Amino acid sequence: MVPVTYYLTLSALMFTLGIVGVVIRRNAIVVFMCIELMLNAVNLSFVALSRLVGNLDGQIAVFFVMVVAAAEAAVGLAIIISLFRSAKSVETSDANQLNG
Amino acid sequence: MTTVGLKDIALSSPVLLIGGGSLLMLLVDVFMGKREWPRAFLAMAILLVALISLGVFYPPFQAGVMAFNGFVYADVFSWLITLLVLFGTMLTVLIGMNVLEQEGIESPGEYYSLLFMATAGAIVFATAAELVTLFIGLETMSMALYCLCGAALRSRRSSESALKYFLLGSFSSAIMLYGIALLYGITGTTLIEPIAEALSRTDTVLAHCSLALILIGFVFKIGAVPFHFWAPDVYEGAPTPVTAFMACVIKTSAVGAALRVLWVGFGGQVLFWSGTIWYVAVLTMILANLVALRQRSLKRMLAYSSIAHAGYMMMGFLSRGTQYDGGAAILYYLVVYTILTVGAFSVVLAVTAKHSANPHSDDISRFYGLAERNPFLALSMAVFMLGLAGIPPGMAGLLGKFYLFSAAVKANYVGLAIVGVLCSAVSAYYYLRVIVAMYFRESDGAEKFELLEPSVALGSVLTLCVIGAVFLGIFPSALYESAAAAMVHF
Repeated sequence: MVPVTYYLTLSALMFTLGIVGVVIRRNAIVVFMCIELMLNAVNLSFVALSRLVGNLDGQIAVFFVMVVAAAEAAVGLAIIISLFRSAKSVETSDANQLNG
Repeated sequence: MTTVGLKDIALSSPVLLIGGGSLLMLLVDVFMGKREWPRAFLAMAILLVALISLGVFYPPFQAGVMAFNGFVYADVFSWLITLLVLFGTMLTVLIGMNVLEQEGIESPGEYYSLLFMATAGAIVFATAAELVTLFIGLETMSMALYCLCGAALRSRRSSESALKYFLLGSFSSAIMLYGIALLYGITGTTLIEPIAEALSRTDTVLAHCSLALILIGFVFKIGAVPFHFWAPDVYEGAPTPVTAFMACVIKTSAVGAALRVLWVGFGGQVLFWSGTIWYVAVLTMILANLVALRQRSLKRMLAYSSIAHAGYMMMGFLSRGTQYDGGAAILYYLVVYTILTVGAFSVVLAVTAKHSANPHSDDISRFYGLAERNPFLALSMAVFMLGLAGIPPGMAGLLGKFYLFSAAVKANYVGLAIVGVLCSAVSAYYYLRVIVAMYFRESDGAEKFELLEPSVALGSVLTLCVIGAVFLGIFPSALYESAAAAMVHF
């Protein structure tokens, strides 16, 4: 059996990759994908930890997180499309109309 | 085996009514097609029913009541926060009533529906006693808000603010969720009170990591330094009624939720988080007040002001317990802050609504000579600015700050209180500048930008906010005592 720590390490790595992606990428869709990666890393943690502590709460939480991630995808892409209509770009560096 | 009964439904009736109301608005909108119908009246009716249900179904001042098998708090603190959230939403509906089209919002039915979704989420977020429920509330609230920020579909600035809020907001939520997952791994539960119990037995480095991650999420939602950078852009780009909603309702519910998680869930780790909160509070107060000094856009200025006020409220986080009364001070401050901020944004709305497409519509020069052009707007703005600055005769704001600072002093954070006093002295400059612009400057071409003729709804909000600010300044004890009573049973 694969030990739980392996899953937790993988999940921490995925989460870190997600953070790095959000920080260094400028394309709104890629940034958004990185956020989804972070959510899925958390899901993996939840499932692995659920195994570790021996109750099912963590696995139930995953269902909720999946619903949230799906809703976020819908809302996020809609917002990106609405910006694309006016700015003709999905680069976050082109979202520069609001600067004090 | 536990079940959900009528009592749980009754205790959560405000959330259920608001959530149902949100769907009802959409449904009626679909059936009415392109025809006009009095959406705002239905919205107000739903809010009134929710307020009545809050009054009828809640047990009066009872300690430790919970609903849904201990997943939701239904105590006095929750009651007050829910009341304040509903009140804030009501003011938002009223000020937005006749200006949605001018603000570029083309589908008012969806606007009200999303507004109610955000309200329902805000109430769940603030009253949750379980971290996954808390997260769902947070996301319901945030996702509706991302859409609301972009509700002016043809405006690039609005879409941009939605995108910024969305990317940074979901980033911070994901970080918070990772904290929740780790905490679950350490304690084996996601309920706040059992977590506190489990943490008192095993206080590990991992627990501190998860606390730090959850704190990042809260600091972001409250809008405090170092995670405040989204606020000015989002506040500026979003339609003004949405900005007012964000400034009051979101802050209220995030502060409520953070208090619950920090004081109850991490009550045993005070030594660890109080240092962090101390730095956050000091940095927030100093930075926000200094940056606000050089803002010309009133919406940005009010955004920085709301960040600064978040800093003052963070001070109360450190004065835990009944002997320090930090909680009562925070509750009092939240009420005063809601009234003053919504009031200030409604004046900004009246000045900018007819030119909302123009990026300079909320420049301070547009307020030059406002006292001559519309004395009512200018006078109420003066009351709100004095209140936010906390200078007499703006007694409500002054007392709010006094309660917070004295709570900090009682808890032995004298240095923090001194920083707070100095910062509010600095803040007087940018608040008074608005009054100077309105009363002592020639209108200088500002008169060619037409003001919105305040409708009955907007006028009544302004009157209500002015009366509220004056009343709370003269008779603070009624509110402060009930806030203190709420904190006894916290």
